[in-house]
Amino acid sequence: MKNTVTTLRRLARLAFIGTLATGLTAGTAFADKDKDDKHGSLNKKWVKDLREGKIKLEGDHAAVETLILARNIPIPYTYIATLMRTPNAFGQGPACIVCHSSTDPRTSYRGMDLSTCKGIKNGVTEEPGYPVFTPGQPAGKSILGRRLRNNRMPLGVSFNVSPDNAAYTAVKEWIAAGAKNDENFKKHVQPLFKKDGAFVPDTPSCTTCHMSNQEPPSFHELDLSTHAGIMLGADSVAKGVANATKVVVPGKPEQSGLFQHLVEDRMPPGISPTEDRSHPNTMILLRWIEQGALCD
Amino acid sequence: MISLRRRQLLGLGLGLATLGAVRYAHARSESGTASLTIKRRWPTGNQRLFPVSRLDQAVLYAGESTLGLIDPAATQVLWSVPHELPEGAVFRPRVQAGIVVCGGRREIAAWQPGQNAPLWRYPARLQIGTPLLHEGTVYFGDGHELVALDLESGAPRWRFAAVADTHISYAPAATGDTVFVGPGDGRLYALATTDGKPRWVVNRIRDWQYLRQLHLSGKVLVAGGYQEKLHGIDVADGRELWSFNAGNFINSHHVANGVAYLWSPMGWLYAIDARTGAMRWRHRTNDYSGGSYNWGPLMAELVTQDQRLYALDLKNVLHILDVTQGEESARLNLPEPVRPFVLPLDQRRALFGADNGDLLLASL
Repeated sequence: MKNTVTTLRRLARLAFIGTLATGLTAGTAFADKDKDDKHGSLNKKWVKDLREGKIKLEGDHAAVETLILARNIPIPYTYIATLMRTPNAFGQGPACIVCHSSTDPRTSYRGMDLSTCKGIKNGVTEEPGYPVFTPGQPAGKSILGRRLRNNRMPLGVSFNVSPDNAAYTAVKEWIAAGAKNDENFKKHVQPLFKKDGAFVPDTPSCTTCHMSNQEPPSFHELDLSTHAGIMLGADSVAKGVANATKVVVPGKPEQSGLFQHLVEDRMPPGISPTEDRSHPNTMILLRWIEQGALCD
Repeated sequence: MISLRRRQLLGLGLGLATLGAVRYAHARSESGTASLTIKRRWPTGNQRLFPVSRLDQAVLYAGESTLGLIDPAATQVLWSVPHELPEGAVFRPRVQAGIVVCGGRREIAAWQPGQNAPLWRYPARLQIGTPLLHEGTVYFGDGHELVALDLESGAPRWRFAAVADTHISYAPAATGDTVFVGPGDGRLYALATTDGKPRWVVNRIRDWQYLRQLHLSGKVLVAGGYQEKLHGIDVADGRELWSFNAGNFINSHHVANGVAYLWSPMGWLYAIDARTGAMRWRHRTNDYSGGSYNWGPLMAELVTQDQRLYALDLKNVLHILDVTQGEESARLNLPEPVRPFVLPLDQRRALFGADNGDLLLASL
């Protein structure tokens, strides 16, 4: 068995090298002919960049990053459709359409139909329905992008922890009421961030990892120990106050990263935080959205 | 028939014994955390301590109220002075040529150990960043400007303005006559130490957003980017030599003897060759299954000494690994909560900062 696998790997490697060599040979000829053609074929550009030493292959996802994302080639919907039907497409777990297969919320979670292009773009249909991304817009912080990339906090929380216990509700209502530095915040909200197991039993407090901006830096330069720190947001130390990532949008808990990170489970359900957040297929899906989420 | 039963019984007995041994060994490895013993403690007059520094055989500390010095062999604090920094100190005190620099976001100042009056004070124009002491000069960010002061007198040598409305928050790094700084504007600047004029500037904000915690390893600048990658950069021209994808944010990496050590919340502790970017080894720290196997998150800067790598996690457990292979040789539980730093004194002793502001000497 081991020998068979080794042989197959060798054959695959040979095939890849052969394909690459053919492409390079053909490409070289083209490159000579159309040296300055800015509108040339992808292959010509690829060979030109290879010759000029512009190609830098980094890490496990070099092929996707270099060949697809860096060149922004159009992502066909057929590939997205395949991803939705493929187990482990974005990390270990079932295919998306197993749980999101129709607009019927009795048989498909949130009435979300990921089996069709229209269904993907419509998003959640169960009341209150909403799309999970905006075609043509940056997708990393869209609902779909967050669900595929963001780990729920505290890190390692199981998806079977209900997101509507009293602690979550207190945070949600505080943000909805304007996120003020009032008695309610001081008595009922702030202590939650400082207390072990406040949201989920047997988990560290939020301020274990997000407690100040000092040396060594708090994770994501985030200080959840004070109202000022919470409102300042993440990454303020280097990016500056104006450019910090705000984690609370007063009046809008669903748009607040603080609340999102507490209640939103990463998909597929049960995926480990150790799984790659920037899985190549995730990045391709997000690029498809940013390209307009075309169904053709 | 009887013989067969005997064999079966014998086999069953051996099997159970083996199973028991395996389970025992497994249980030991799962819960094999020994406890550290606190041998001495020094009240410091602070409630919150920041990482400490060596000054010969003594150790410098700083907190929200005082700056001081202890000798691990002595019970009394050697020197303690109210630093009177607005909002307290937030950086590790740094020392060079017998001068200690201690600072916070609003002010930075210098002392000679043993003297109560500071040599100089510098109040922030905007916000002070982590300082670097290099060849008689202290470098630090003040808002978007890099400031160079004479270490002894505090006299200004030069200022260099990066892009406004961003901050130089992390410490610069320097080698020879060049100082490197990576502000929040996404650029990496190499400046002449003599006058602050740029030798070269690279703008790779799309790749790294900004660089954090610059370290030098020979002619390679090792920097963690905001975008989850560790970068190896040629000090001569800012060219990227390699990058390593850590899969999540990089907080407190450490560079020593040609190796960069870092922890990723993806659940790995990595040792990366600082010259090539190749991974030398990785050690699994977390699978987030909730078992005792899982380490707490690592915020404390990793420390190497005597072929050992020291990693203090946020569950107050000190992990000691072999630097060559990454094998964990000891897992030591602190008897009380500590701040995120560790200073090994030798192979048998280490200093920690208790959550109540005391300094602790622990026997490993």
